[in-house]
Amino acid sequence: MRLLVLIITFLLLPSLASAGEILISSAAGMMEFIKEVGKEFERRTGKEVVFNFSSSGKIAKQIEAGAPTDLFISASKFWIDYLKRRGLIEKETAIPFASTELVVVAPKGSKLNSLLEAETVAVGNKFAPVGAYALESLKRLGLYEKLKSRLIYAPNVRQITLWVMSGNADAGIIYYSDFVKYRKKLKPLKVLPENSHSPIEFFAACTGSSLKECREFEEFLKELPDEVYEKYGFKKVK
Amino acid sequence: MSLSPEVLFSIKLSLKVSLLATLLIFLTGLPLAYLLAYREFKLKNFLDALITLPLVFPPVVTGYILLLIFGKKGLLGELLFKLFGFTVVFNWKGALLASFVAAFPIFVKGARASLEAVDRRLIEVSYTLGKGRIETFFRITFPLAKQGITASLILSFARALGEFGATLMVAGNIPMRTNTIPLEIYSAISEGDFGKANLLTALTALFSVAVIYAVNRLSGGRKV
Amino acid sequence: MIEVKVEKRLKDFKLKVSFSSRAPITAFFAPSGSGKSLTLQTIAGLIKPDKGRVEVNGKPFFDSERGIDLPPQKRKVGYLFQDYALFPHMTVFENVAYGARSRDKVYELLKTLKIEKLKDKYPSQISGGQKQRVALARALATEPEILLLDEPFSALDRSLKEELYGEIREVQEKFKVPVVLVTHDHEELFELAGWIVILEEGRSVQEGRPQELFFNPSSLKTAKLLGHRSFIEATVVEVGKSSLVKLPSGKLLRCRKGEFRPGDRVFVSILPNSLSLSLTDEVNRVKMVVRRVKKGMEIDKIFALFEGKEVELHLPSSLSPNFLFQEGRESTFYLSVEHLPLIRR
Repeated sequence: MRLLVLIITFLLLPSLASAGEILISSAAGMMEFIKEVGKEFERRTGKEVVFNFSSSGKIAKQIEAGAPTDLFISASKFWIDYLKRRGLIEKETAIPFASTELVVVAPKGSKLNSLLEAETVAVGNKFAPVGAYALESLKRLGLYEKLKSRLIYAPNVRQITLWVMSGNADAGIIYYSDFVKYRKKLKPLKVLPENSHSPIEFFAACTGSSLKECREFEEFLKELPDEVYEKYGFKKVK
Repeated sequence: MSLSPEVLFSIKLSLKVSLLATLLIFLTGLPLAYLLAYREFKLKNFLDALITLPLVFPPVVTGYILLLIFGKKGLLGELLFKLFGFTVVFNWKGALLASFVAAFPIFVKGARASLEAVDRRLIEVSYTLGKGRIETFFRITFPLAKQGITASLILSFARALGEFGATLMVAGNIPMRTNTIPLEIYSAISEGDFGKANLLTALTALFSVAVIYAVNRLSGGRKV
Repeated sequence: MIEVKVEKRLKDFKLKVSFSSRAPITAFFAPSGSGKSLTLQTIAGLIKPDKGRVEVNGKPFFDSERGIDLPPQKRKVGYLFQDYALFPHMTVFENVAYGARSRDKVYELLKTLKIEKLKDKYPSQISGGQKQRVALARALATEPEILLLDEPFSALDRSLKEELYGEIREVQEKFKVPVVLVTHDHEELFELAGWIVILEEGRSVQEGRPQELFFNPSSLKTAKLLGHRSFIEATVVEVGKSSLVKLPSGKLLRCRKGEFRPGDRVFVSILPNSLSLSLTDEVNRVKMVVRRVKKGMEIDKIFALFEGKEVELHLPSSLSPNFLFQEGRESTFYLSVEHLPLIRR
């Protein structure tokens, strides 16, 4: 019996944010970057960082449902505004801190030179930020009508990447930051012009719990050297 | 509420895919269930485990594996494409493949159990009465296991109809091309079109109730 | 005519059976779990022995040396399972017709076994006795070389059993088909069998005609199995038309003839029916103390102390008033020599 209590306590432990601990719920696309930053933060401050990775929309819904989160890192402004409207984040703490670009990729070793040669192009669907930006860009570049029938829609970056890596799609449009992760299996064709789509920015926002630690982490993000961002395919927002 | 072309298409596609998948499952699954139920052979347990995998794996993983095997550069996919100019990725055949693989173990497991439940001695009596394996199967074993086999078939049809994860991975979510009812519901919810989502959900629910009713009737029905 | 000599090793059981019978009805007699059904299955071809030979009516079914192993379909064996194993989804008619040569044959059998009226019923709608007739008809419809019956009467009540004994005999005579049946019931054994094979733990230990076997059991275990109840240790003194043995008390007792030599150590089996009415040449006169008398409808059972052991003796109830057996008193008994077989110990 005592053992059982011990085990349960042990299992519950990580979910109970204790003093000096910060719980970060982050968009999955930032996983590698935020993990490294988190570790560095722990090393510097001695405070513990706990992570939860998912899609931005899911996290926003979780926060709405009352899931404990101190810091929310979103891949789109939409979900920040969504929570703002519901009074679930501290307004002044919502800041864009990183940005990235869209890149057209093909499987490694592909002979493809341009997007127009591809028979199938994998993009995110309009509900996934990566898809919304890509469609916006294609439309502004006047490519959408030409490619419309060749587009294959995926719910997330992972799916697009998988289709392209496995050669089932001839090309795909993903974030540069995601391309960096899979660069061994992908060939970059072209970075889409930055002015062809709304800025792709990642936001941080504090929910109000452990506000001091949260702000501290935000400050830490702002002070990080540019190279750390670039290593993961992001640009620091000044 | 009018049925949009997408909704109509998804219903038609779903029925086509799941009915065809069920037919293929029946034709290939029954002999396999027979072998597993009555014959001893090497790798029997391995084969059993292999076909069970789709029950254990998350559908997305099943889809991923199918993509690796049947994708354009997959082991079999490349061969199929070279030989027949035939590919399953991003078209309705992918949905068929995903439904087939996901629903196959449900049928084989159920059919095997139904065959094993047939009194072994009835089969032996048939042999001593001069009947060979094939005639014994069609006149004794199959009729006696029929209820269970039909119930398994209906369940696997329901599974095929509800297949989502692997279908999304292999066939993609392409309106008017590969979006089956579950994919259409998924899109409708993402889009915030709850009217459409509700309609399709109600249709699915109605169908599920009918399936459960049918299965219960078959398995709880007259025991001969 | 049937000849079997097979060996089969199973997980935790070893079957080693050999016998040869020309009797119309042969019985395997043994307690449950001694491999009777297994032996039937090797004859039917449902189980393949590791080695040996099975031959029925001169036709080899199995011969490991010659590489013969006929599949069950080719053996023409009528096999009746213990609870008949009728096809539940077929009517009586369909069951019988399943392996039949012709429809005429089906009608003939339905008539012979008096089940014509049941022909459109399903097995779940008929009684145990009827099921057995149907199973019999179904087996006979293939005109089998041999009929194998696995404990055919175990599920039936007594009056029905006797009716069916008659039927089995009739069927046997009418269709001239040898029958092998498995039983652990004495009544069945002596009522039906012309040849008995005794199995013990998967081995055939003795075979022979019922009378012969009953009076010459090869071991104490077999004797008990056959229904012998009371045993007294003794030593053979003299052999001839009968055997003279010396009992532990030193008294001499004249017993049934057997293959023994003076000095052999034996058991005398005091058969319950060894009581004789008067003193003749073939009778021993002994004194025993009556311990208990159990009166019954047909027989009275007397339990008496003889040579320090309790022996059970049966007496027809109708004769009982002629004898004065009082509990606790010593009485004189006449024991028939022929009913005192000897068993080697």
